[in-house]
Amino acid sequence: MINLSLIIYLATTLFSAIILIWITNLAFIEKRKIFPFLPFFIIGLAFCVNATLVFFKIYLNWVWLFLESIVFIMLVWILMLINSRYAK
Amino acid sequence: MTELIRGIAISNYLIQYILLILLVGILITEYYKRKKDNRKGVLAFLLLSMGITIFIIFDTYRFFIGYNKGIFLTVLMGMNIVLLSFFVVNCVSVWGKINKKLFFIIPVFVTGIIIFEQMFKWFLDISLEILNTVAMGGATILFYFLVFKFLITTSERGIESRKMLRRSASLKKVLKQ
Repeated sequence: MINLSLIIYLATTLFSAIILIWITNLAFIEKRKIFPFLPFFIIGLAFCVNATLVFFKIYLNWVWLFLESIVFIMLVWILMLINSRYAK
Repeated sequence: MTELIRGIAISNYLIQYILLILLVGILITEYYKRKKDNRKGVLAFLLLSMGITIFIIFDTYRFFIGYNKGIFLTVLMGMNIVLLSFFVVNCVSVWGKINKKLFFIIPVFVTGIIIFEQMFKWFLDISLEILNTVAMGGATILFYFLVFKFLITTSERGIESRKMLRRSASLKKVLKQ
């Protein structure tokens, strides 16, 4: 059964994923670099997959866990990038 | 088809649609932003990404309805051949500006996955049709990055900065002499 909270969750996830990918695309061209913005892009893709898995209620399996682990690894990557940029 | 494979296939197609639609948007804006003498290849990539989007709509129908025969499959294969040859011709026409590694990875990646799938079918009698979809998703992402690399190398800011670098290098040479 599709309830209101699921619709809100899916809408926010997909909307934020599309915005994230769009902003990353603009940054690719603006800054003329791809590699530093790659983790944001991968997080956007992972959010899309997550939304689909949640819609069909097939989360809590190995694919979903793999996806979550990718998101956390990307977050660590972003933190490492920030640290390397602003480290003294 | 189990639920998990169905979910993976749907998410794969969703990602492809999102990426291609965003790519079409970016290419349209880039086409109108650039000067007329710096537009070579952009329009072709735009048409190519539109063609791939239409192809993926047909492919989604094929995957979920399972209609794999007759004129439909012929049209799909014809479209595939036309798109691939257009892609190769366009990449050759802008050969100096594209990333060669990405260009050569695409056929190797797709052929490798199809061979992997066929090996499973022949030797272990396991049908892994989902791998076709995964291969297409991977190819779409590689194509996406190829187009972005092309846009970055041909962007006007990039050309200006390269000219500046050349000028500064020649200035250094002059100063050394």
